[in-house]
Amino acid sequence: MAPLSRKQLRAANPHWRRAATLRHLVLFVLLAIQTTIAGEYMIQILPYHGQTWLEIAIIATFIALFAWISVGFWTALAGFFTLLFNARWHAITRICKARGSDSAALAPTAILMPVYNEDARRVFAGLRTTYLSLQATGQLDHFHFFVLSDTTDAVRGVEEELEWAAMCRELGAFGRVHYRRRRTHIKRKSGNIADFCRRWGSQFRYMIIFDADSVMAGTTLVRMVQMMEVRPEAGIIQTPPVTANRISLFARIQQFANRVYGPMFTAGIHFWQLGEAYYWGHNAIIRIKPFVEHCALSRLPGEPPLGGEILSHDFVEAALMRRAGWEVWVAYDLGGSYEETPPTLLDELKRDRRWCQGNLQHLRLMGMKGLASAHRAMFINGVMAYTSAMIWLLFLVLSTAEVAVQALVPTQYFSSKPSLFPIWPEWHPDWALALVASTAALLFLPKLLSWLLLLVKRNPPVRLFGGFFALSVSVVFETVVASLLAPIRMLFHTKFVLTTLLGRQVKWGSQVREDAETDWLTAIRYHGGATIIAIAWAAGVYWLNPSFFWWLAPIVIALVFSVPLSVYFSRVRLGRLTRHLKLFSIPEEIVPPPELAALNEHLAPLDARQADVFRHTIVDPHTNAIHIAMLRLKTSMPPEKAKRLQRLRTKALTLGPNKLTELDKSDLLQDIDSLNALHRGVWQIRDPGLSAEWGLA
Amino acid sequence: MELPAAAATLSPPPAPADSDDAGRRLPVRCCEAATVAPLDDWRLASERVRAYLARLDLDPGEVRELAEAAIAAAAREPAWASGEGAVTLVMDALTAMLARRAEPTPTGAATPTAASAIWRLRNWLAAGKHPVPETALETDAAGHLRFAAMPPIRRINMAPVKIDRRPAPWRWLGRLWGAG
Repeated sequence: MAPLSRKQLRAANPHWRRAATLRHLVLFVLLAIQTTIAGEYMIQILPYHGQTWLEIAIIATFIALFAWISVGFWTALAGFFTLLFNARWHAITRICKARGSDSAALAPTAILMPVYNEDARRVFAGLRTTYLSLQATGQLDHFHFFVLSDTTDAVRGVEEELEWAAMCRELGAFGRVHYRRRRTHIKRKSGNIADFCRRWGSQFRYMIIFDADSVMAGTTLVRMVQMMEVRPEAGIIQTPPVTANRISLFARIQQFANRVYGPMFTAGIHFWQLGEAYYWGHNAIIRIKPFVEHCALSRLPGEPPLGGEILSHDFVEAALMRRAGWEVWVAYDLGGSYEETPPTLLDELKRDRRWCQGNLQHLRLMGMKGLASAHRAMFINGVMAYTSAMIWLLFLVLSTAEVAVQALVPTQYFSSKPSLFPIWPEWHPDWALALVASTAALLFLPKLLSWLLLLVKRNPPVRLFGGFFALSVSVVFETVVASLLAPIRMLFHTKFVLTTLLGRQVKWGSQVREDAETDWLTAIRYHGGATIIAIAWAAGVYWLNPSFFWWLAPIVIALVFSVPLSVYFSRVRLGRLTRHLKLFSIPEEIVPPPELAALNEHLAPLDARQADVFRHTIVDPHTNAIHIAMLRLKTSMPPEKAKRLQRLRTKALTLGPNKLTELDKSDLLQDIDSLNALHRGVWQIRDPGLSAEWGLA
Repeated sequence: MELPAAAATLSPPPAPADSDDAGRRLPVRCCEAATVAPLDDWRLASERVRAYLARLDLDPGEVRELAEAAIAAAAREPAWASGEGAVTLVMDALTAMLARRAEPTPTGAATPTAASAIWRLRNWLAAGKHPVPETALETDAAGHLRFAAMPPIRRINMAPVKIDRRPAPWRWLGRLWGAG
């Protein structure tokens, strides 16, 4: 179905709008009431009931934190009831089914996989899996695949080309699976997609965005297109990706958390947001025409890190799409969508560093004209995802300061202002306990509800989580682990926020997508500072007030042990052990869906000869020819560059490949004449040592 | 001096019809060559050409035939007498043979190695299970065969949206107070 005009969109006046407005109001009221009560409690708990500047600061930080965790709580609760009663009135899948999406004809759709210095084998194994799954539906003719590479590493670029060519040859996919490597990497991922839209976007009605580790079932892809076809008001439909396929302990725990708690939270997000939902940047379908017309991002005014290119582009694109009148939905009940989680805590934190800068940039977009209030709230939520850590740390520091003041400064019963009554500091430890209990309930009740939901609904069956006992023990362990990791994340996120605000920007790094473990030295380098701070903090607090130490103990103990925690959680061996014990099991592990089973089959190990890509590209007659066929002919070359290449060729042929730098290799790999000359020259080497170095012996 | 071991195993290959050497008996030339060439050089050349052909996934019969033809052609090269190494001559001879098999024949200043790359690419593609559509490949100005890895471009405009920020509330308040 052709895209609607803006006028038609406005005239549509969707029925969900009224429900959304009402729900936003309800959520606001709930948050306000809950936070007011908790704030009042806090005022009563503090010895001077908020009459000192220090206490005012403590109350302010507490209110901000309490409101933030309350959002999560109400989201979880809404999701719980949505799933418990199967309340799908406004579910996009149900709406589309009622409009006949199951029998809708498909439209031309591009599946985009933007990649940046990724493991090419993994990227193409995922793509191959999706391709074959789609082929099995019989609807492959409606889809084209595009690998949009922004890879800067020449060797990784060659790997991508070889994988692409091998996949096309094996599956007969030339003309259906496409590959493009960008020379200039303007605006990173969003620029990469925009470049596709400008050059090839007009040939398709929809695009489905993949991440480098995404895998989707063919039936899901077909269903997404059918849904878009019968819902012409929809601009974006996001699927909830299930994280799977990792085996390190850390990753398995994250996968478990995502699989047990994720569906409830996603259903909750859908409940509150309806057609003004999130777009997470991948595993989602987008209507190209409105995306081209309304979602091209400009640079933010000012310099990076808060200005310049927009890093977390997905939230902004969702907001712009909605601003133009198009709906953005999360299809929370749509399966067949997978991704992978970072293998270690440090890898997750590296990713968070990038997301932190991107989310903080949203501060500058909050005041943009015409945005839906839900999307403004989404921006605040994104900012709070990282600044809440800083606020939490500030709260702890202020609380410690309050303890220090109480311990070191003599009590002033009379203020400087004239007063008839003395000021008595009052302590209410029972109230404090009640407040801590209620805060803990907000944090941990959602976990309990998710567990309960699985037991009641049995969808998926409990045996697919390892059985009742394993599931229950895993939930308890996961809760403990989350509590241990929270203070570590807090310190890192605080550092990220501060460094971003101080003007340090993030380099565009690729994400680690294989199971790599953290070694002790690396862990000490990253967590050593936190350990020292925690020991000093704990000792200081114990000296000031031993009873307060126990309040702080869960936080400082986690920080003191952050090095071993980071190391042991990264261990694949421990991940396998927990798998053997059926702990942290998810259905995708116990009965892998066909797509994930196929993915692992496609991830065949490389032989040693292929592992050295540069040497392989020079020596192997086929690989050399394939790579040359991927290069663009250079019509002219500066004389200095030609001389340098000549020198490099001589160096390579007389001293061997090991004497070349990465830059040398990169230059040689991008020059057709050098590739031809080296291929000829290497096969004519007579020196046995040099021949062996090139892999001829 | 004995005939080099590599050359000794050769049977006379069919010389190209358009070659000056057509119809001449090859072993005679090999023997002449062997009188000036080190034995090891021939052995290495024979091993190298077979190793190269093995990487092209050809069947053993074709490997033997091409290897013998390349060695024979190298032995006929006049450069042989001027001291050019057997490995160089044999590998160049093989490259030239592969280049002659390439279609379309490269034009312009393409070297034999560049031309042989076309044959190597076609050879690799032909070994696949599925036929390769002609649209998957294109020939550039220099006669190189290239993958047409992307469909034709049909450009459309995608202009960045203006980030027009709403006035901050304090400015609105300021206006109430009479500022601005």
